[in-house]
Amino acid sequence: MVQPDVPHAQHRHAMKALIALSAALLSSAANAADWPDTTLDWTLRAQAEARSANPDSALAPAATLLGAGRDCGTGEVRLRGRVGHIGFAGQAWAASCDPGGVDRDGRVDELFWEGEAGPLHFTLGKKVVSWDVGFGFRPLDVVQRENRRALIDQQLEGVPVVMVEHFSSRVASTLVFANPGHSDEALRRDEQALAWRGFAQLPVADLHLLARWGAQERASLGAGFSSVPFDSLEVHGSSRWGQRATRLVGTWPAETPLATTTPWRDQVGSAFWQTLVGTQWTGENKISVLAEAWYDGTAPSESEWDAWRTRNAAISGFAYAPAIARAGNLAWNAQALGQVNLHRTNLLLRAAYGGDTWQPEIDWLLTPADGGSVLSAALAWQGDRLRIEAGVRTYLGPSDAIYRQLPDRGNAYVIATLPF
Amino acid sequence: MFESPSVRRALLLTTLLLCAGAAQAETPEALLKRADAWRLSADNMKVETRIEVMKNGALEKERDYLVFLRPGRESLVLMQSPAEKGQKVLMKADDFWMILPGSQRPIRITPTQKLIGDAAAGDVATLSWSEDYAPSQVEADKCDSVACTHLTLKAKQASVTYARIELWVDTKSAQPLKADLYVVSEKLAKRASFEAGTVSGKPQVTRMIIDDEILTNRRTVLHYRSRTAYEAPEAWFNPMYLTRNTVTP
Repeated sequence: MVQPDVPHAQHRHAMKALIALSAALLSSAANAADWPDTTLDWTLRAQAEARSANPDSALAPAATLLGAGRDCGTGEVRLRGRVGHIGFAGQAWAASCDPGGVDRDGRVDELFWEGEAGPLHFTLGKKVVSWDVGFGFRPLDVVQRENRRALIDQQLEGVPVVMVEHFSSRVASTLVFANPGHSDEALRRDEQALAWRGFAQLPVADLHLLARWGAQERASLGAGFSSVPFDSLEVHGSSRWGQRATRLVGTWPAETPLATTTPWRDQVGSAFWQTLVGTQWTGENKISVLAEAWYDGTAPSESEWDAWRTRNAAISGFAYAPAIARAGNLAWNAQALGQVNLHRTNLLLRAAYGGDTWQPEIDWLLTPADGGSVLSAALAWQGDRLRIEAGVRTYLGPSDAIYRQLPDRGNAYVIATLPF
Repeated sequence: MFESPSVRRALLLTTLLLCAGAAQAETPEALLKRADAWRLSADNMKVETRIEVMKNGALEKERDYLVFLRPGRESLVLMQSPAEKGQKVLMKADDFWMILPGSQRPIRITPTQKLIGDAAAGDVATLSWSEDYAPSQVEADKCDSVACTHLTLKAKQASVTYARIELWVDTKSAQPLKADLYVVSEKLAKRASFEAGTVSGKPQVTRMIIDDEILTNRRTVLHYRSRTAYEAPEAWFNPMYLTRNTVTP
């Protein structure tokens, strides 16, 4: 995202462009008020993030290439609205990082048409389609595939869909053709797929059913539930079986420790399971506690991580190669750390206070396989419009735990959000 | 003629007895339904509400809500203020869902979670006591200079926002005057008072003032800005429908 060596003048130009865009939005918002069936909401957001590089990581020699320890400031405008049957959402930002330069860009997150014909409801275009009942992980979220572990929330980018839905008061059925026109070879979020989601509000629980056929991953079936057995307690769970899993696989050359291209490729392989169970308790005092455990059969196995560690040691110890070549290979190996779940078994605990003005929260993600964990804490202040959030994240556990191998030791952020 | 204290006391007692007699003639359930009519003027309604959150007497926040109600204890709350825009809370009898604009995913929530937020969703969306509560005790009382009836309301379902409400209504008109709101733990959570005005030529409650008894420096004022008969489509009361853009009237 960040382009190095861009003069500071361009930063100023980016900010001017943002201000001009904001002014245009303000005037269009005034016009939109006179236009029936039209809504236009926009948000200004300023964000500062500081990171601390991890000198104990096996990837530390590649810290510069990986941008470890880099501090960034971002100004952003987010837009969301509707004109008749057309819905849209987008964002434009200018980010400045040290070391690094200025990046300014924008993105259309949603642009879709919604309509009805008799009892059927249609959606056509790019739209956020989030499914499932969990918080830390969502096996049934087969269209949106949202990364649930991001420290700083991002406005989601939709997926191209053709969607037909039917609703009664207690039952819903949704048929989605995701990524129409994409290559048959596309994987993960870009995979061309047909998915059906059924929902039924039963007396004891909400029931979610899923069936999917992907061009690469083939058949997939899943089910989930959410129930409130007591006034203050909610329980939920979901599970999915898939015929073929997409996994990130590293294939290194056998004869030398160093590769000349990235050894990491997505590969479609054998069948898999993903399962999550969780519960959330909320007291009258507005304190809530969430506990979730999940298994993700598409995450790397312990033997794969052992191979990863061995390869990192071999690269670092290959003194015959120049340092830049070793750093490049280690940087490629950091790709393995970008996966949603780094281990198959995960536990999440979260406590939060839902105050009117102050909203603190703390969460702890533990991977029992290696004892590694992620500890995050945040505090938000909500005014009439202005919201200010600050948070920190750090990685704990034994020194060889995978979370302790991340290029950053931790990070902290402050965000101010002003909606209009 | 009425200046003698004993005569005035006798007259006052007679008036109270007459009022109590009138109250006894009407069942508590019927009285509660008449009290409901001061806020709920039709079975299917669209209600615009503005909430002012005051802290130590100063205005801290304003929030606007659009509420759709239909029989069977079903209501849909659409948050309208910039800070909350896009949030929706659906209540269907004992089941509740929330949707946040960022995730576009309905989340099942518990009755206790309804209490979270600038205004408890239950305060905003609940305009009928008679569907959720049964009057368990009735007694004649005096509220300032008005003869009133004190009703003790017990929740019919565990999922309602408050487990018990002590409600005082004008005995003659059934206008709600004040209420003490207790949560499940029997803790007094809030104390409410009601102000009436004329809406479309009909006397209605126009403001509800809620003093937080836990955060004692906090007061919430609900302004009922409009109430219109409106039958929202059935699909709007399906949680999965709420991700569609059309639920933004």
